[in-house]
Amino acid sequence: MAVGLVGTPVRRLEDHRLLTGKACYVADIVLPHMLHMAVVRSTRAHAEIMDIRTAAALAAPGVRLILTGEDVRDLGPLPCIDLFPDSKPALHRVLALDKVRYVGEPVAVVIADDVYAAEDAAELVEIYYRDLPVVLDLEEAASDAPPALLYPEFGTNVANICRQEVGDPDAAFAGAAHVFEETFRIHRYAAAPMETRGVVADPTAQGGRITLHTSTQFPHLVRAFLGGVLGIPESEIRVVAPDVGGGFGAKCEFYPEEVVSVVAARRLGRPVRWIEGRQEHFVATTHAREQVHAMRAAVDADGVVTAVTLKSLTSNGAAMFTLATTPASISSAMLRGPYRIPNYRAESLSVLTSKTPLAVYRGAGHPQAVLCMELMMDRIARDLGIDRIDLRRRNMLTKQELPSDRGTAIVLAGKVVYDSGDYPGCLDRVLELAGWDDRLRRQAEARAQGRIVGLGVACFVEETAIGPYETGHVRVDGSGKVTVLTGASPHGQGTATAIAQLVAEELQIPFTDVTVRHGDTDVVADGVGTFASRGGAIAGAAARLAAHKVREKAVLIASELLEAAAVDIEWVDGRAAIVGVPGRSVTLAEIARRATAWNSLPTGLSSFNLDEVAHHQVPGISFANAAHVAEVEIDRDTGTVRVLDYAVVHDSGRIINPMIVEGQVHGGIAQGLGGLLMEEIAYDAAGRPLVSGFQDYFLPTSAEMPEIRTGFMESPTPLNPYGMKGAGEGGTTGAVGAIAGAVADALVPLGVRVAGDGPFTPPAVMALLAAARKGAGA
Amino acid sequence: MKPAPFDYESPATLDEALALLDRPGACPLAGGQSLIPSLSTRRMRPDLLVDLRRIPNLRGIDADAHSLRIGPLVTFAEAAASSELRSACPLVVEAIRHVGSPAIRNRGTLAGNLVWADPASELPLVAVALRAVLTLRHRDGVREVEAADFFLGAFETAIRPGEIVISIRIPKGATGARAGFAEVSLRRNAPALAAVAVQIEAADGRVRAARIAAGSLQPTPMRLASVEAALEAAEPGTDLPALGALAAGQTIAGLAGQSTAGYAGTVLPALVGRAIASTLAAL
Amino acid sequence: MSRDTREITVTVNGAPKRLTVPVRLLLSDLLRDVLGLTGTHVGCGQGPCGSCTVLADGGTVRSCLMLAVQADGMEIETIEGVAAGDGALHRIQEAFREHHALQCGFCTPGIVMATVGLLRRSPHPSADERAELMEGHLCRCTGYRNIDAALAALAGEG
Repeated sequence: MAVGLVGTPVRRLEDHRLLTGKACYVADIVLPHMLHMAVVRSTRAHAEIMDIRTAAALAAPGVRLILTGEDVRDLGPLPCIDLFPDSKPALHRVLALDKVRYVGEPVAVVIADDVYAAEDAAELVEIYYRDLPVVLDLEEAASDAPPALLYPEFGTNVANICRQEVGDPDAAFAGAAHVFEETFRIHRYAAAPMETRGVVADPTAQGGRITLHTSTQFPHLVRAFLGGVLGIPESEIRVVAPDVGGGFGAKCEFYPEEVVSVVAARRLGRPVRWIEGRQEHFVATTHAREQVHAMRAAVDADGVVTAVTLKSLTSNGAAMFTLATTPASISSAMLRGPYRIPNYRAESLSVLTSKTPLAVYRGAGHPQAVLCMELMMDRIARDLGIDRIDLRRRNMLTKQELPSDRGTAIVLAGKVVYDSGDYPGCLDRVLELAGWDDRLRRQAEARAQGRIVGLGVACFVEETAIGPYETGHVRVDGSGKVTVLTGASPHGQGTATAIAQLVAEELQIPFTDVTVRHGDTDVVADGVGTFASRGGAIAGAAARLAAHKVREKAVLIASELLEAAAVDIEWVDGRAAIVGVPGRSVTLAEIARRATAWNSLPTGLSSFNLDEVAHHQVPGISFANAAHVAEVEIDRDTGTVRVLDYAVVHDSGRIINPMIVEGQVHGGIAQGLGGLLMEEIAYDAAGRPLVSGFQDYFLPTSAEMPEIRTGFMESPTPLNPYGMKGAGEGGTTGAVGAIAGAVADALVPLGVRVAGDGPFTPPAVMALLAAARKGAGA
Repeated sequence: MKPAPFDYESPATLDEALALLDRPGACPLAGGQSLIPSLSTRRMRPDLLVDLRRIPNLRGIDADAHSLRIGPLVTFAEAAASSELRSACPLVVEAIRHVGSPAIRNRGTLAGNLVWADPASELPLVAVALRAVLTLRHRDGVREVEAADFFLGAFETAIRPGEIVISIRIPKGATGARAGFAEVSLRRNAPALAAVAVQIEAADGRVRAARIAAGSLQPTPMRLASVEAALEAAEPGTDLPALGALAAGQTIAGLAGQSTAGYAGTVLPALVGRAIASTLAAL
Repeated sequence: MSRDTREITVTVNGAPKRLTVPVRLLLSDLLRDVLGLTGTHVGCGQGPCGSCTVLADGGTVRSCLMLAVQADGMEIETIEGVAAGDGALHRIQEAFREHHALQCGFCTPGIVMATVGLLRRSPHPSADERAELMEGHLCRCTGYRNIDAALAALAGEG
């Protein structure tokens, strides 16, 4: 029954094909006469390219073409869309020209008959380098005397500075009873979806149009970027995101392989495929997170935080990728989270370093912000002898204070105005769910036994469902089945199911009668994509608006068929029926057939077909919120951190499918846990990454995951016609804060002050303990 | 991520295999669970792979009065399921639980693992602890090498070009021998940051024989002779796990390229204590 | 592709095949590119992730860690052979769907194949056996709790 479908945990429409091996990821696409590309990448972190010799590689068996930077020198660089006007346009080229700036930068590509031959020949491309000094340390890179300038023409490694200014922080600090300072260090890690990136560029469509199959989160933007770089109209380009095996932000970027494969395919007149290897992935796909936050907090005698200032640095790597400013922008705009803190100043620098480009990953800048804010709250509470929950409550915006203009802004997304939510209520709920008081008591007992147990709590507010808009196109065909075309480009979120629920509820039909298509720019004329927790809420709203228009049109057609006035017609169970006249009704299929082009135009209508398009223009950002509680235990002898228990109460407005939202929260928590406890991309002094795949970059397994108890609140947003906010990223954002807080709490009695996000590996924790012992002894 | 070209033979006899392996650039292939990933990244680029799978008599586990002989194609899964190994060399079975994951254990061989000599791998330290002897065959002859002499460095062994491991001989423990294995890693199924293997034979409240070795501390497995001796000398009623403290202050040659050797040294006494305790719990 | 080739005989999902393959061809590439069985996914090519897991003579193997020539004479089972011919889901697949144990689906075929292997050996696997299975599989989407719930349900618990 369709009524009340929204809000129920229906099982997903996507699953059958995914479970039976019938899904089609980009690596599954086989085209006639397809060739294969291998990318020759820089082995140096910063060097001049003195010479590239390709003769031996060209002579290798099966080789069709080799391209180097010279061959594509006329192509523009890859766009960065979140640069502001005074930013330094440190943009990534399609292939390196004259210089390389990180290990992994594409220098040449080899196209051959099969991937084995392409890799054979790639080894034969000879590149002669002259090394230049590398810039790895963030503070050094941003300093006035950096070891090197990555782009000497700019005279600085600072690409841009995001500034926020609210109230009068100087006055607040001058009048503060207490001032706290801390510098938080956040390490570099990566989204690491299970499917690496990949492309199949096909130049064989009629009229020489290009089809680019690519593992992306935003095919319509890829179409626009590709057209821009190649200088060809978008109408000549079709971009298809087939099934995509996870993205988490890393596929919300436009990459050089998406251009060079097309160049090669057009040159050869044959399809070209490239599938990123996992080793390659860790240098060729954007990294995430690495920041340093120098934070100060002014606190009055009652524990009210009156002001915060922030100076932050983001290690953006060697170029500004598509969404490169966003981590700095979000972390500076959102640092204060749910806390009032009326005076605020931030200066957040996006800094170029000799590393793989860094951009957004689930949560973008939120996890970093939550980590800093919540560790700072805990420290203030501890130092002032105030209960940390109480301190949070004293500073937390109440429901009555919303909406609240926070005075900050996020690049691309806009002004930060908290729309709805009950932050203190959410905290109360999670404490209840976690059994907080009981846990505190047990922690004290555990400590008395010499165990190292910590509790962490993280409250946050998060930008979701950003604009600018999304499209929905709903069509009913003569069978009565419904096809929805959405501009979202889901890759695991279950958005097709969620949209089907919304549309089915609107039309009161079984949701299995709805087919949702996405990801093909020739099928879906316009769209924005799936990122920033926007798919379900924004695309869902657009689809439902379109379905509503379809229903209104259906009623008009039915009024002709039933010979009744539209006002006398009600919509019941997917049929139009005359109110009070049992048995007088027509089905959706009958109505759709009446509207087809081989009939006359239905009375009173100006167009054929039961077919409507809607745009949901987003009037402003909607802000989700949540509170997380984590309990950890640290093995005193080995430094192993284990997350024992986890509770979360999440509020992302109206929920379409609680099963899916809970799944998003679970997955997000696992990613936060991984980043805190085991994932890291470190570099050696020469700028070579110390990660070569999943054998030395460790994602969490099932064994590390705690039980997770999840509660929901639903504070609808006025910014969405159906009250929905986004739920994709909050799990990660909260987990980073809660687990870091728990580790920090665990180590307090041992004299360790945690000012960063680890990763809290066994050796790292043992080193913290040893340093604290040394400090205490000194 | 595709192997460089190589030639491939799968000879039907050991003699043929040894003749092929005598060619320059030849490399034996058993389970391939370490070799094939290295082929795919092209870290390894043999000219010729000699697949041992068709050769008869390389698969079994045989016992005589004093030892067990493990054939070079015996997989981890087969070894873990062997009741003879479980009773006579329980440490081998105990350690295998920490090796790779089920699919890796279905293909990977004990002999291949030893020859690979990964300092973070579990089997080498078990071989050293149990005084295993490896029989190496070359077309020109046979020799035996004690495990302690077999491991020369990280990923470096005494095996010579053209040689293969033809058997792993492990002295049997007394009936009732028990084993414990303690390991720290970043997460489940990650390489050991530190590992300790213990096998104890006890009677009448005394330790008759103790076998202890540690891994990930240095490029090769380290036998902890002082702890072994202390366990064997301990009077009944001694707090045996506390003897793990004797492992403190072991001289540790840093593991090249790994920053965790110092860590391994720090946690060693506790891990030894835990491995002893879990062994005693099994007794 | 490579200089050297071999003829092999391999049974895939019940169908015997006689094929000439380059000796360096990986089993995962044989399945995917030669036989078109693209339900077996390659997530890392090095063994840790488990996405490419298939059954070989009934036991789980990483298809990225085997050469096609090593599969000579073997019986290989892949995800394409799990559901019934009419498309009805196998009860393992049904349990994964019911418990929302998949999101992007990339790792899923490997976990399903490992589960097929486990349930054949052990129809009611213990929590330890299930945990051992999951040692070998990375999933970046689900956070694992729902996979564990699906496995528990299949074991007759939960």
